[in-house]
Amino acid sequence: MNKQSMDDSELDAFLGRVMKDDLPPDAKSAMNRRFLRFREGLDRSGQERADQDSSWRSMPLWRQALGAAAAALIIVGFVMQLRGSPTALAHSIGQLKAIAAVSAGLKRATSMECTVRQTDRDGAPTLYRIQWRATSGARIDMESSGGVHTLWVPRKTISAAVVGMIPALDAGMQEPVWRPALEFASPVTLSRQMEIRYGLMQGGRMSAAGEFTIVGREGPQNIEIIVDSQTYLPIVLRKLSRGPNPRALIEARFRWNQPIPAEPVDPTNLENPADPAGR
Amino acid sequence: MEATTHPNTKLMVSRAEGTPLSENMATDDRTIYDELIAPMETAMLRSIWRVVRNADRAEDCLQDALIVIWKKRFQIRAHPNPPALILKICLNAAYDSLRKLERMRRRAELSELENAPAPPEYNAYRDLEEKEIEEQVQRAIHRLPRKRALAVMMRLIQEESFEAIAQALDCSEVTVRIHLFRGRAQLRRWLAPLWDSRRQEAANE
Repeated sequence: MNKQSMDDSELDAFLGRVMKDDLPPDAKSAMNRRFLRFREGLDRSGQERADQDSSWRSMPLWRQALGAAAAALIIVGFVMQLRGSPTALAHSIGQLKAIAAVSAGLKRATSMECTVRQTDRDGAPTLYRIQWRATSGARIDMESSGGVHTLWVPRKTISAAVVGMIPALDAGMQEPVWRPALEFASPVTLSRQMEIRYGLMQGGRMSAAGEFTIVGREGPQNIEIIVDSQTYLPIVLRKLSRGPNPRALIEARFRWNQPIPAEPVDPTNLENPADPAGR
Repeated sequence: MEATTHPNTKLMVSRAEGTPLSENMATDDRTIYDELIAPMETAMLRSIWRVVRNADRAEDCLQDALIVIWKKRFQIRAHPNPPALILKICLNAAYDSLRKLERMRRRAELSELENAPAPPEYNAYRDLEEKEIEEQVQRAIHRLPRKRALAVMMRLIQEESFEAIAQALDCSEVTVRIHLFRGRAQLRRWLAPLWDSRRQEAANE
């Protein structure tokens, strides 16, 4: 540093002189007014806050509860967001897509073979064998302790039944013994049941065998449908009793789009199906 | 700076003795103002004035500083040296004002401001040369990096201790000394022509 330069004390003194403490009285007054206004603002906001507190206290209970519930919902939403609910949402969307795919697969089916086993309260089984073809209709054979009976269900009757469900069937088909099988009389009927009655909402994980499970409820029963992940067609449908030891009340096993050797529907009586006794 | 005991000293002692924080937090706004800001009012406006040296801008700076102080009031109460922190906030606002002023000068808007009638009471006795020197010093300060400028202003203007400056700037005392050393060196370099001319004039006289 040359000798002309300031040293520290000279610099300090110079800066002290330039930036001297000569606050003019009117500037001081103006700044003091700022302090005053700020203090007044604090007093006002404190009063307003107190008023708000008292108005909250005087609010009806239901409004307080509503406010608290809204706040709780916001917090729950925030927590769900943080805890990865988007994954859960994506998962449920995936499930819905799977259910829709099953429904679409059923509507595209051309033939179906189904075996339905019903076990009554006494443990006595009833077996139904259903053969359905898209071109004709369904033949249902019922095996029980009472013997073997056959029911012919023409295609048009199935269509009407799908629109109006069971009441559209004629009196013979409304016999209670056929009811467990009629749900599976055709893929469209089954699809309709899935969409309306089973309340399918949850899906399980994919198994090693390439199957996944859809579950739902129908009245007092749980529904479990095992679906082939390749074709999106059901393989097994079970209706299970609820409780600690669930029991299969109805179990239906399906085979899809297989060639059925013989014409399953009585060609002589397409519009006048047989009675429950098979006569 | 006057060696007065800040009311917060008492507050901090009570906190150290185990007064629950929530009890202190529950204090109403006016009490906080009386504890934190009221004892500092004079120091605040004087420190801002010494840097800004313009009544309107000083008022604006004070308003900005008050807002910042109020937003950080709980942080300030918990600070080891609340007065130093408040002073730093004020000088920070003043520093921002200098920067703003410089931007205005660059946009040539200052000419309009200078042509506007200035309050006569405190401008009349300041001659043009003095005003130019002020401007040059302000420019030099605003050219310093922020922390360096704050350290210089707190030390030179308010004569704060290294410890207080370190607490306010949230750094070590060594860092404060470095800031001051470098800040002084830069100011010396930038203000040297001004200093030399003044010395020359003094010698001629």
